[in-house]
Amino acid sequence: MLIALLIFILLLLLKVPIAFVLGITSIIYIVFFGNIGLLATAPQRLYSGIESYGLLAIPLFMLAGELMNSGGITRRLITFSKAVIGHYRGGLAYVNVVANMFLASIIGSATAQIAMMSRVMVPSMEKEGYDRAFSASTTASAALLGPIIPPSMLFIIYSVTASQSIGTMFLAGIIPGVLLMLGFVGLIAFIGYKQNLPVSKKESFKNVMISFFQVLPALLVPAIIIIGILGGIFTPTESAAIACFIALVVGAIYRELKFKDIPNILVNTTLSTATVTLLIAMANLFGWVLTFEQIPQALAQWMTSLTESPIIFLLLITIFLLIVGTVMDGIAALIILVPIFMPLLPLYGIDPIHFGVIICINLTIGLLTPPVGAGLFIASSIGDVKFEKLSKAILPFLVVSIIVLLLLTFIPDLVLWIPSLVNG
Amino acid sequence: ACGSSEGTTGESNTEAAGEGESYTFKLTHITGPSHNWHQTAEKFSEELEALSNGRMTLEIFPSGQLGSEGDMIQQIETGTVDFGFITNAYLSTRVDTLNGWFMPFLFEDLEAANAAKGTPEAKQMLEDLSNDSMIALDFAFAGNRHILMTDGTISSPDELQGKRIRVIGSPAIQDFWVETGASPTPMPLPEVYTSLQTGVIDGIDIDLDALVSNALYEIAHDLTLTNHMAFPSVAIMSRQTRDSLSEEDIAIVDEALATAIEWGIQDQIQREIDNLEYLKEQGLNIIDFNNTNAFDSINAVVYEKYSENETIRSIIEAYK
Amino acid sequence: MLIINGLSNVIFKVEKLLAGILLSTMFLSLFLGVVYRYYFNSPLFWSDEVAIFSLIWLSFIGGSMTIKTKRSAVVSVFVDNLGEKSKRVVISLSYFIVLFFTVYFFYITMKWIVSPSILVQRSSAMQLPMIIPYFSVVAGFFAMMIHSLALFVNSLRNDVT
Ligand code: NA
Ligand code: NA
Repeated sequence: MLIALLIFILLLLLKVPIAFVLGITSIIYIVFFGNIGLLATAPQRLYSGIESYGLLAIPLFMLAGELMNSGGITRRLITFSKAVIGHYRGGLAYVNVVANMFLASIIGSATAQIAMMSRVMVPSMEKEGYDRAFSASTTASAALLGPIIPPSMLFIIYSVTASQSIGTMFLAGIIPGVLLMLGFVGLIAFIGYKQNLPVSKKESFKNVMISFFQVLPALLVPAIIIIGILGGIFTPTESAAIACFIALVVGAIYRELKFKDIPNILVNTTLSTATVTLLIAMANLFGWVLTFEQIPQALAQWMTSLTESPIIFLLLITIFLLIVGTVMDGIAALIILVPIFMPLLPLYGIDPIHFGVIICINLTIGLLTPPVGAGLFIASSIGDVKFEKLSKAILPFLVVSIIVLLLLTFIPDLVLWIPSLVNG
Repeated sequence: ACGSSEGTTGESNTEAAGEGESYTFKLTHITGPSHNWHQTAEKFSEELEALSNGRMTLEIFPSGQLGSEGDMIQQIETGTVDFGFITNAYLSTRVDTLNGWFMPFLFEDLEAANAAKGTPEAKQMLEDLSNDSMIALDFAFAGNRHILMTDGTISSPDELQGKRIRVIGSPAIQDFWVETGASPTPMPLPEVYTSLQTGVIDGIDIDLDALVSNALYEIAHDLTLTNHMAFPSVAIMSRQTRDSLSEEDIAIVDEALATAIEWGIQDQIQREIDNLEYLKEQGLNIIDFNNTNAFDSINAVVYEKYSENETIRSIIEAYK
Repeated sequence: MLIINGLSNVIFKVEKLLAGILLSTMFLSLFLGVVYRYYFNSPLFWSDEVAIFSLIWLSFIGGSMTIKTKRSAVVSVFVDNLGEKSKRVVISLSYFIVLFFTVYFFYITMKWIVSPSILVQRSSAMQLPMIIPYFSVVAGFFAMMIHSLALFVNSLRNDVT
């Protein structure tokens, strides 16, 4: 096991693509330490790692983002938000967080949201004089709201594996989502003060109105998505395809989307998508080898043998999950770990809804922790920022997220209050 | 210590007591730890240990931890996993005969479906499924399928016209639902909750266990107990594993499995009662559907189509 | 111009074309899925499956394109801080590791794809032979093998990236 870990780190340092680091480590582990028969199934595992309906949202929202950029939609959205709140210090960074909050009430997956918003926000922030790494890390962190503010794929999967009410889980996510948003807003205010983040000049009322009318068709994209999902016309995953369609139409209305741009848009989307999905495929192979050897199970059992205090237990879990989240996909980790932890909750007197919110936020944060974080990869590939640079820039945001997580751990009422109001 | 792997088929240790070889088998299935199939697997594990005096133990991987059902089959075929409970829905894409279980309104209730696994037709299904690398041993039944709707219970197919119903994407199930005049909509299970809530779909073809564990009663309140289809899984064993066992050990495995599956069906029957009780407490509007003749013309079309397969034809003849 | 570079470039052209087709197919099938379900009230039973199969092909073809374009996610902090000479050595070594792995994996996927149980599998909605989506893994690793061989050979000759 230790040798496999060393090989893993060595390969990373040698600049081997991270997807291959995962694949090679898995193969080496199988060949030298594991059950050699696993090799015969390895290709099948790569395949089924991406055979997932939920993943469809990634390329399609990426495509929608590309189309919105080329079609001038993004530019107008940003111009408008800037006209309204851009004259505060760090205005565009706030625009970013607020826009993510709205998007989170539509989208249930952090990765889809990071993909979409990185494409849109990072170039605009850079144009306004923000540092690229700061822009990408603001975007990636704010997109963490995706699976915390309902709807949420992660909450649904938790509810199903833990036999909890999905509706209650959704309600429980509201305050944590708002807290996280406030935390990011506070952080941006602080960074804005320390680093003199850009301010745009205050626009005249006339210019605000002009940019408002120019943005109206562009607002069709979020508006149609919200109406369509709430009205039962399409599912959140399908909304990604609808977003592409509206972006095509609006781009044509603005007369900015040119037919000759399309091939380039398609190739770019493919490259951004595959960077992520190939990694998911390899991570799936890696997680499978670990599961087969019952390593996560053994770790969890060892952990629970350490303490009798619920708070220490939750803190241990937080640390454990942050570590698991650095190398494993959130959904896979949920499926493996929830059944292991569930029987222990009554022993510690922990509410399963409280536990669910903590475990989901934990694994969502894991998307942004290096060395393996799907969210970081997406933001770094789409936002075109070096991985290490982004990993560094994201640290303050991670600290804020972890503080919020600890608050939620110590004060269960923050999670359980809204569900108790509704459920009586 | 993390680096050592438990031997499955090839590598096995001689037991101290010298009664025979020791084995740690692996079993995998798609459902969660609270599901009947998992409990059946646990029972199988207990029986194996008891009958072999502790020489045989079973590691269980629930919730698709080792991958999709396609992956499971491959791992069983290559001998890295020894056992699996694989859904009939998945296996019917590989072997036509298994569609027999999906003939609509053929089995009145769970007990009737379970009784049918003793027929020569059911034995034929197991035989059709077995090949050089795996062997199909038995069927384990989840609850029968019913209809949950957001806007009223069903008294005849007329009320299904144009309704978007989530169904499992298996051809025979699809064919039945197309014939009813509903709009069968394939959709992954995690999407169902929000889709029912927002109205993307109007209802779902589902068993009571899944209804309860996915909390769908929170958002859809009209349940028609139709029993319109059975929903088994097949207990599969790796041929490699089986060939590596002695006659006596094979007998132990078979006996343990038979006991577990028999226990499982009793457990499932009790679950149906408990689930219904629970759903009533949740305030669901539940009706027993007994106007089965209303579906006769629909059933006839499906029966006709699948009767090309001799085994399915004779099971239809026997139970119609 | 080395033959291997020419081959890698031709494959890349084909991949770009395929990527465009796959992405468009994914978009159209989901979009039509919504239109048929909502406006015509007759859901398409095949739309999700077509979209997912397109995604899988897109991932492996695109994965190989990220090798060719050097767009894959990497950790370069260590290599960036090396001297010019050792940097070239490490980069060649890195390409060699990737090449070795892709060759080995191509061999494993070939063994997998020709196993008899592959041919009996059909997809659940369309009853499509599963070898059609499965083959993406083989094709992807084949292309990755060619691209990384070209990168490795080039790194030995002169240019370091
Ligand atoms: Na959300
Ligand atoms: Na991580």
